[in-house]
Amino acid sequence: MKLTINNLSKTYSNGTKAIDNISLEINEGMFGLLGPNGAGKSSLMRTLATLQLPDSGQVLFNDIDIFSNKISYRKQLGYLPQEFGVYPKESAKGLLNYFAVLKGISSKKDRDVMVDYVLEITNLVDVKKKHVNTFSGGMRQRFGIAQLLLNQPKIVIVDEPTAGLDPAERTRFLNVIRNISSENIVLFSTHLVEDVKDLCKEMTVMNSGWLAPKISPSSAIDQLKGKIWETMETEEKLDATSISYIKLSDRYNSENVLLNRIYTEERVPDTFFSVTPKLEDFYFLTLKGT
Amino acid sequence: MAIFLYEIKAWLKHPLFYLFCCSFFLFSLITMLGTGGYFDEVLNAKGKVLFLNSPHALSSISFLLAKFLLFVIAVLGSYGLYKDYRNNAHAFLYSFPISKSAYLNGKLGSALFAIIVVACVTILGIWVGDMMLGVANPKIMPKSSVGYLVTLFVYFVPTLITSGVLVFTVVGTTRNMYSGLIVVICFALLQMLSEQLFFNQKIVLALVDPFGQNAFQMATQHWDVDLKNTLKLPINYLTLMNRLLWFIIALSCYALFYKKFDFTYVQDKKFNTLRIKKSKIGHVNVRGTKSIIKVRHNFSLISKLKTTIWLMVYDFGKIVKSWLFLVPCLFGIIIIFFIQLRITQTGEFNLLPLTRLFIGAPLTFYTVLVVISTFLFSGLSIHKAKQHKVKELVDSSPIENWQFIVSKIGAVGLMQVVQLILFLLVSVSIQGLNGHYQFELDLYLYHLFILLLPVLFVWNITSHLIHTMFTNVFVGLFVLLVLWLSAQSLESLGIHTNLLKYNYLPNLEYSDFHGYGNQLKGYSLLQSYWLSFALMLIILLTLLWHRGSLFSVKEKYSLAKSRLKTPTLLLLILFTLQFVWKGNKIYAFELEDQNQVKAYDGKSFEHYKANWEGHGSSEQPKIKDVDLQIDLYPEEERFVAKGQYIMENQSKVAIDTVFVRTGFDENTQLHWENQAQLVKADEKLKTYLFKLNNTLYPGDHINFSFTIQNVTNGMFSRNSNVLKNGSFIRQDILPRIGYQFVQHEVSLTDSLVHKHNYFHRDATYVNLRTRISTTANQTAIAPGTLISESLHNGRNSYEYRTGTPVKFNFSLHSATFERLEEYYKDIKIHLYFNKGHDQNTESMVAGLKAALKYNTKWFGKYPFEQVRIVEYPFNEGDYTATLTTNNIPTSEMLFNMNLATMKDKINLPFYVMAHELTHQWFGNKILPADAEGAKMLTESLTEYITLNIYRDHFGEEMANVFLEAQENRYQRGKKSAKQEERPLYKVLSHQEYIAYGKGAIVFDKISSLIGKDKLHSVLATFLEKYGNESSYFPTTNDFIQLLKTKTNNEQYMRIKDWLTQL
Repeated sequence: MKLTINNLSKTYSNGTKAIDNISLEINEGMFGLLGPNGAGKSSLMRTLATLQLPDSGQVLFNDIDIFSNKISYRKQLGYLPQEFGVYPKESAKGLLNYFAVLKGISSKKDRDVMVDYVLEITNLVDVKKKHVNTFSGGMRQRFGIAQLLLNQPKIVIVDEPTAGLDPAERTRFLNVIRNISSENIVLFSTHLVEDVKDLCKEMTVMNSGWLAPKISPSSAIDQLKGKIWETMETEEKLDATSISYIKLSDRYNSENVLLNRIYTEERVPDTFFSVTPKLEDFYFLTLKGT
Repeated sequence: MAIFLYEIKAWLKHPLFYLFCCSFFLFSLITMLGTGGYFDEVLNAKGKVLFLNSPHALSSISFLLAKFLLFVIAVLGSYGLYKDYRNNAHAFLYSFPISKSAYLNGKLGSALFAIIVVACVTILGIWVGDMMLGVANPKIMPKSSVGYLVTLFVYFVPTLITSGVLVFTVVGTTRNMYSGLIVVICFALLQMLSEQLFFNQKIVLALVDPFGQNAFQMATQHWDVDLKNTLKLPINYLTLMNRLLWFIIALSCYALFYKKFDFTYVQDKKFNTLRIKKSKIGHVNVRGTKSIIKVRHNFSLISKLKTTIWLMVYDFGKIVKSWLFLVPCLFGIIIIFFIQLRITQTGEFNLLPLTRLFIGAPLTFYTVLVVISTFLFSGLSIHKAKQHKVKELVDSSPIENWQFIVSKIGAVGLMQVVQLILFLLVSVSIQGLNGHYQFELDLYLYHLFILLLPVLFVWNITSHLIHTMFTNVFVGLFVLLVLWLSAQSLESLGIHTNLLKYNYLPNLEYSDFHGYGNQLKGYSLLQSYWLSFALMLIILLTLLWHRGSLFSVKEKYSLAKSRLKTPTLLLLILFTLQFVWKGNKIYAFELEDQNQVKAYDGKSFEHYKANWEGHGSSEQPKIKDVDLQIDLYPEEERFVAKGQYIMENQSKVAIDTVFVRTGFDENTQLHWENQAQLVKADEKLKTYLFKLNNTLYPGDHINFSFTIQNVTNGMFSRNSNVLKNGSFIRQDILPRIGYQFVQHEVSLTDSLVHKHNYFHRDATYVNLRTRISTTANQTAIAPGTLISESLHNGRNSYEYRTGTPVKFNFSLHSATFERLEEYYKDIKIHLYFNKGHDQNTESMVAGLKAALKYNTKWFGKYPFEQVRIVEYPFNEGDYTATLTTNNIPTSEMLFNMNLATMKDKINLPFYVMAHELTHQWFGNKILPADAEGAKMLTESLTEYITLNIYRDHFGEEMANVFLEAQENRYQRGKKSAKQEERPLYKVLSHQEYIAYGKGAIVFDKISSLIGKDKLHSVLATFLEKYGNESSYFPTTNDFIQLLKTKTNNEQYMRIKDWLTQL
């Protein structure tokens, strides 16, 4: 099972180039799409959910063009947009029943079974009769997952689902996602590096419509080993040295001293101390690289 | 102030604002130009015309414009406030240090600013039209600025501001912009409702009418054309009270809302999140999704159909539970109730609550609500997912586009069906509650679901397409309303073709005789024409339907283009061809109809006068003898007639030219048998001048024959009087002699006042022989006595003769009649009526018998062996009944009176029959001169005699009811009269309120003054002196002179005063 993106481009009528000739292959398991706000992640996700047409390029799901075979692709698709609402005065069960019909479960008996099942998975059984518009953010996101599970999708696209969730709710949510990914392709976009680190088999970084080559989070960290340093030197002093470096981030230590975190492959003086690379370093490095 | 200015700037940047301004500017401009004849040839109208730019006319038009503008008010009044809720801006905006007054007053102020600007631009359109027409136009008066100021600041703007404040208040309270629409619908319906509720309480009505229109009408009810054309202000204290009342109502509502409004109050339930016990949410089921459960995801065609139906029912369920649906339905029920009440209980009489009445005006008004609901719910249905941010979830589902389209159209279609069923149930319930159990369900079902539903279906499709094209639901609604109202605007532009009047179908009338008659052909053709168009729209809808977001126009176009594959293209071509083919047929039929000039309009009148002026004073022979053979073919709606006139020169001079005009709806050939030569002809006006080969000297006779065939019915026009059942043909099919546009009702002082009778110049009393045939299942009736009847070759043939000379006033009938036979002494009374219309026959016969008894006692013999009441379809004549020789053609309406509920009212079937039969003496035996006051000698005297018949039959108490009804008739007519009141002896033919209402009262007073016997003896003498007279026709002066000889001076002076003074 694979999703293949070939030379995909999309420019909006206002001139914004949201997707810039990207190519990518995604296999079974969880795939993380990291990127800052405005990177084009949602545009890519919407395009992969067939909700907008690209200007050029092709997307194949198991070698079938998704834009030419939208309906058959959608039968296997579960999509959770970054922002979604619900119809007012609809219970969780009622609305899921509606979505189940949309997803092709025409038998009432089957629908009941499936709706109960997804409610159980997302732990919404206790509130199934409550109106969804009264749900908290986390519950609503779980409801979003519940609806995408209704058609037992082979490819799941979730767009920044953890934004705004408290840590407990975020953990619960990610656990659900993790379970889905065991047998399916899950494309998961986020601007939170931590989400990707533990969950995704593979990942990529997107910025300004451009996509970095995909990599596994562990490889991304491994390839930075011995190349990430922290120093108390100011940026002016660093620039005065002959070292070629890329500043990744900075932070204050417990003595309230500003530490600059840099990437360099060159030999560094003793005032630099080596630190263990984090996925965040890879993310910032990739962004700087673009 | 900052909010106010910000909102104004926002409006000035909003395209919707400019769309509204431009649309209403153009609408009012076109209306003004169209009414002013800018698009047509302007006639040099002679006589008085109403100025279009007088304060009165401008105020009148503003009421119509205000109703059109209400929709815009629903948007302008609420958008500024609602957008904060819609965009969730209120979540942070309410935490700003803004005062409540600054926020609400700023929002309201800016909304009212926008409303005032659109209102001014609308009136500006009229003013520009006024300028374009110019003072040279006979309908334009100079110095009209006062009218504009009054219209704008007394009627137009206050109404719009009031409705705007109410919309603002309700939308602010409900936080739902669509509630604004309901407010304006209720606002418009309130006027209609109050007109029904306070029909007899004019002051209350003037106060509660939210438009001030009834106050305006009260202020101007006595204005004649001259007053309306002055700068006089159409305002009175009621107008000001009305404006003040509604201002206070709006302000109070706003004050209440203002008081309740709270920045900290989070009304929106979506922020009122659910609290769940923590212990319950700690656990998450960690399981795979695939291996555990097996359900079928079925995408077979059957399954897709099932899903489509499920979605349709789901959407339908949401619609019918919505208060946006329920409120208009409630209003619909109220409308049905009050309008049927208005129709069936007129004050003078009650009609049976028949199905045909319910499918008339009540359904027309109810349909307005159904169409508005269609526009609204199709928009809500299409934009619902986007509005609630569910669109991406829904659009990424594996549902085919056609499933969405069919389910949404189906849901709105179901809504329409439910609304029609509701109409049926409410109507049937009202019928049942009134004790009328002949529900005619088949007629309801046919009218609602075969005739009306397809029209609603076209609106359903159109509405879905328009809302798909426009992303803003209010723009879509606006476009639809413009489309809906365009039919009337096209008429203003002088465009009359049905081809362009979008989905506009004529109102159908139903008679128990012949159903919808030949109207149905044209209706069905138009219906199929617009249905073909709807099929094209469905294809367009499938091409333009889009899912997902961020679609530019270019993208939509390329998407549609990519979907236009061969099968779709072929279907589109097929539907287009079908539409064009039907359009072509309609065009051809309309052209055919246009070529048949049916009646005189202004232009043909001018043409006639120009061509034939000067012939008015020439002496013409008079018809003495008519021999007519007419064959009716009801199934084919045609007749063929042959006839012969014998004419006599009754003047004192020789005649050498004869002037003939033949029927407009007939093709007539005249045969003079070498006695005359055609010297001038006008085929368009069917007018011919013949020169006689031999001069016709006084007392000489001449005859000519003719053949007549009706012009066949057009697709959209009625030319033939022959119906499939219930034909009612008058003498106007026959050739008429003499110049037609002579002055009628000449002055009593005219030297030739006694020369012509009031009814016909070309005949006084004639002998008539009629041979008439029709199909075997129908009976044909003509004036006179039935001489013979036979059934031959599947056709019924009859011969009638009048025996004695009769007034040239005929009627011919053919229908499948039920017959009732009665006798008064040796006079046969025959009733011919449609099956089932026997409710009031007893009263009718009683009326005839009473009239025969009374009149034969006082005024002499009834000249025929029988009298017939013959029913005709209610839409075939503009009177209830009339007397034609010994027949009384009577409208279906009189047979449908609900006598059981008229205990305290005049027994109309009795009264009408007594009245018509009395005309045998006063109207037939006495032929008044063609002079002012003629109707006193026919109608006033007849009403007085009828009153006496009524008194004898029902007693003094009911006679007082009769008199009271006449008094009401007089007072009502006086109020609504467009021309000055005249004394009874100079009454004009159209002043029926004087001739009937005042006439009956005055003669009853004379009767009381001099005694009934004496007055009756005067009447008998009058009849004796002038009855059956052919050379001297009496005037009211002759009657007054006779009264003078029979009364003392004091009595005479009083009588003279009553008759000759106001």
